[in-house]
Amino acid sequence: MADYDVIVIGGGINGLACATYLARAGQKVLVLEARGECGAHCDTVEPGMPGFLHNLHSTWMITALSPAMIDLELERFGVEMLGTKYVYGKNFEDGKCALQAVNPFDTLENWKKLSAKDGAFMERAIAFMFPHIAEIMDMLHDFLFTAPSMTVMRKLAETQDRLNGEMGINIPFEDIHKMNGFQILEKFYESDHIKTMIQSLAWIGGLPPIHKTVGSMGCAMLGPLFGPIFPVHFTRGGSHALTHGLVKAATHWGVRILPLCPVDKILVENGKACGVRLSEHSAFPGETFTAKRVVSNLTVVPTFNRLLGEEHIGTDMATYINTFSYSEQNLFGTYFALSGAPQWKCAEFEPGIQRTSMGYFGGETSEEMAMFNARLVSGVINPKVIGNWFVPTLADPSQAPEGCHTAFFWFDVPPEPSRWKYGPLEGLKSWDDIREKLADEVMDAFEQHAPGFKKLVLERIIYTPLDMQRNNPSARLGNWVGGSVLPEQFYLNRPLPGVLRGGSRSFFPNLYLSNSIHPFGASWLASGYIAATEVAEDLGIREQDWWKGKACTWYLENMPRIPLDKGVK
Amino acid sequence: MHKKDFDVVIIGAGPNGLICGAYLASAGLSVCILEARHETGGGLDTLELAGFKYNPHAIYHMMAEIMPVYQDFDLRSRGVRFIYPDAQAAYVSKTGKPIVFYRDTEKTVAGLSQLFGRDEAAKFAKMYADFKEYSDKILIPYTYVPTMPPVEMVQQLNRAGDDVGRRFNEVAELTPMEMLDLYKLSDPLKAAVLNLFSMWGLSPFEALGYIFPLYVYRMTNAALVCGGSHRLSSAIHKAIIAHGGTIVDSAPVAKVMTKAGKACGVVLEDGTEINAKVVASTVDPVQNFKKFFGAGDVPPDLAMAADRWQWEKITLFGAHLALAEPPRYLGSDVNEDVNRALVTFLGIDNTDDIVAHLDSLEAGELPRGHLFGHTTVTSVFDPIMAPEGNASGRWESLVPYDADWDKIKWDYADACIAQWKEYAPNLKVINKLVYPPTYISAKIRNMVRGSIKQGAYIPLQMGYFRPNESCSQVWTPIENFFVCGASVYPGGMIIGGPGYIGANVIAEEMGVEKTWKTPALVDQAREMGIME
Repeated sequence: MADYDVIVIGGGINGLACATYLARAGQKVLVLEARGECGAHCDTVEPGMPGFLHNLHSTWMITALSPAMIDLELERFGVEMLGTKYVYGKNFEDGKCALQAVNPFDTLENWKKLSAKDGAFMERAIAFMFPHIAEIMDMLHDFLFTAPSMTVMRKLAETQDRLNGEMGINIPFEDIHKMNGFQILEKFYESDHIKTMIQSLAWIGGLPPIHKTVGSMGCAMLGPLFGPIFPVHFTRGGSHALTHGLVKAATHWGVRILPLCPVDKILVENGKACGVRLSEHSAFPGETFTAKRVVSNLTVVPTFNRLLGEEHIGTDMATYINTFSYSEQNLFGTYFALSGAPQWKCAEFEPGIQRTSMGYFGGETSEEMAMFNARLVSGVINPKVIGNWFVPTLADPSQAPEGCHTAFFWFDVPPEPSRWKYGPLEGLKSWDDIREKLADEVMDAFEQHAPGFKKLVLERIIYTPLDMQRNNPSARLGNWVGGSVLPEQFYLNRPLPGVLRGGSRSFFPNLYLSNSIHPFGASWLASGYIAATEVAEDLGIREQDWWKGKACTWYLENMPRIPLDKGVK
Repeated sequence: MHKKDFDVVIIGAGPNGLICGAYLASAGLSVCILEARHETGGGLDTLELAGFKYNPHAIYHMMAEIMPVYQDFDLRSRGVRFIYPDAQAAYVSKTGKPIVFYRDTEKTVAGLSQLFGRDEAAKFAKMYADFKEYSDKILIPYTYVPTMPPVEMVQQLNRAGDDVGRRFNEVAELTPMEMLDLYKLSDPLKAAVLNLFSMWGLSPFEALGYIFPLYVYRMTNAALVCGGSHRLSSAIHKAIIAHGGTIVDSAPVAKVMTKAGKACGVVLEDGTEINAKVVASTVDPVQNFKKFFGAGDVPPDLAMAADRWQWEKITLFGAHLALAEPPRYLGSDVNEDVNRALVTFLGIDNTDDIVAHLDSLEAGELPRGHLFGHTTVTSVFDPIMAPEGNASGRWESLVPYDADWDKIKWDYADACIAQWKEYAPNLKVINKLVYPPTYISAKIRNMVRGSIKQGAYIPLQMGYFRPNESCSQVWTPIENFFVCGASVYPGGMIIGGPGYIGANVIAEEMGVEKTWKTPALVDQAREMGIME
């Protein structure tokens, strides 16, 4: 008899979510985490001055739209959402800024100042959204929380066509599919402020606008479709609080979580996955555990090529899996301990920017954004600093000592840069050499958009793609979504055509993936949900009276009581 | 948090709060532990950054598997693995040969015999045997039972069936220096032994003779926790959740609520009220009796005791390094084990120098020149602490709290690293983190002025007097309010004593059946008549 019903390899948030669903459904579940602390991409550290918490990976938390909020009772286990009045802002050198607010009518007000036409478009989007909200959320649930299928695709196309029709845009979904993000936004908006804001959101949201399908879907969804509702938050005490909540929920429902247990091999019997063997350096050196089903929350390449290996999957399959790409976009992080909040130059145009916890600067026009994207895809670090800024403490003052703030900047970079403006580079290993200099340039850029910023800086922590890979070797090249989101690695194709028999069930019997699959790694816990669903179906335990949450239900029911602006003076 | 009514609320989720909570939750009480920080564990703190793991606070575990919580909650099955390096302490020097203390006493004595001759080695062996006996038979068992007045303890030990009680009574009032003189050790061995105690900033001239043997014995039998010290607290944390307990992070306590003079819950800094039948605090006496209660709710003598509470005068400076490779020390050509010792002491070989160093620290002077530092490279024993081939290293040395640390911390770290490099020329730093004493108190609010033990170890604040006569046995004069943190007998460090004793006392007070047995070593001590 097997030691466990299910073993989950990897205690990241998706692995934990998957394990918790299955344990709550009565299964005996073991989670093996290679690091000490679970949540490799949902961590909060205090590496420098105490009291300043830095979220090195997940920061803008979209867990509020996850069915797990309800099904796993995450609030009861200490997960608390906090926000700011404005969710996202894009600062411009001309002194203006574009905003996305919690309340769509606040967004509208800002957009109208930027363009009457785009404001009117948003107005129509809002008008469409509210009567159709149940239907849209249903579609969102099917798209994010069920295995990819043509049926879902058709439903999505239908809704999108209807939305576009009502807003006077008659481009069929199949044509949208063939465009990239830049092209579709040209059809929707006139203002570069608004266009580049949506481009930046799609980009940092893991859907690069430069690619067709991926980019157009990203821009179409984040613009007119979800612009009116934008469930982005910070978890109180830092992103790692979500990990804590999941660990507590998992432990409560009987999951055994073992830290420091890197897995060396997946055990195979009669051609089926049947357990794991731990590394000699683990907390249980060389020990084996057996299970009826194995879920890997590692990314696809190490799962098949390291844990199973050619001896079980064959040389051709191993070679094929090795073609999976991790190499497109990554983040160069500079984290700041600040004595006060940054004072944005564009606050004169729009005071709301001072109540915005996340934003983006650089990339003034669509052309500049497109050029920046093109450089990234070809491995070149953009000469000008362009990227995503955060001031989490405006939402959650507990992440810094009283009166102080944290901020950080994610410069979008190629993980294996071949070139920067100062000359050629040698790929991943270059990061240890250029980190300080690049961080200096990030500070210069910050200073330009928020004069006086440098005087606020008490300390800075640098975190490069190489550091990310060191932190979590399964995230090759430090990739933060389980592998690049490219048209050939998206939706039905993800991770690679032929690897899955469903949304998570792999070609290898009894082995499932909760990473590198659709949609992609993020704090919505969707990959873990899909894996849990399929394992539960295969074990005949999917029907549970508590397992009924839908995408966004929690958010729509609880939105009014989420505190805003707790750290705004 | 939804639930607002509990049997027990515990303030502080450091090791003692967690231990206390685990036992009480296992006894069926509804327990809520409140932690001010975003992370629980207190001094059991491990930072994971870019593949390197660091322990900014506790690192050596002197009691490790001896702590009852380890067995009672089967922490091994929750992933806690203690690693006991064979070579425990190495003294490297620019002039002399290295001294190495092993867990295996025979090996230590053989080495000492080669270095200093059989006589000196025999003196050490005699001392070590005595220290081991005092520790095993008396000091360790007493760590896990409530304290008693000193006179009663002396009488008890005098009555004991085993004559170790009477022998111990003869030395218990001595200072560490007097005890060392008793065994007639000479430098550099004498300095090496003394330093296992004085490395904590403890004075050789205070009548702390009763803990000196424990430190010498246990600092040569210490363990690391695989993956970092936080794994220990994390495992206890999970045990609490599995027993239905509640742990709330980022929940600093503002006040203890009282009704008719009895504690009945707490108010958090954000105004949330939580009701409880019993409140147990694991934080320091100043917060306990000055901050948590209104002036009228605390008996005047208790308030006065809190006012007089003394923090440690000497604290620690740490530098935590991502290293390209493990250091190779001077003297490794003579004895390779210096590269594989749990703690390596750099250039500490003279008792007078140690005394002078401590004197200048007591006077508040910042060490310059020779820094009397020690180093630990965890990845040597536990490869999971660093990426393959690299190493995770920690420097620590004694410093005063009062210095302009914000200004000097990086330069001071560079001086420490430069000194480390003098003793390990291959040292190559990839990344460095500093940990000045101001960080200690900023991170853990009860370690005021960098007091890692929540208050000085001086005779007036030890044993039955820790924190004072009316609170050292967990009960306080305020009904339903209990104390069981490091500022209570038996004290700080990761020994698991206060929280364990606290749980026992509170369980008895609340009339719940204990789900755990008395530790075997306590039973033995009772059989021998060493304790009642």
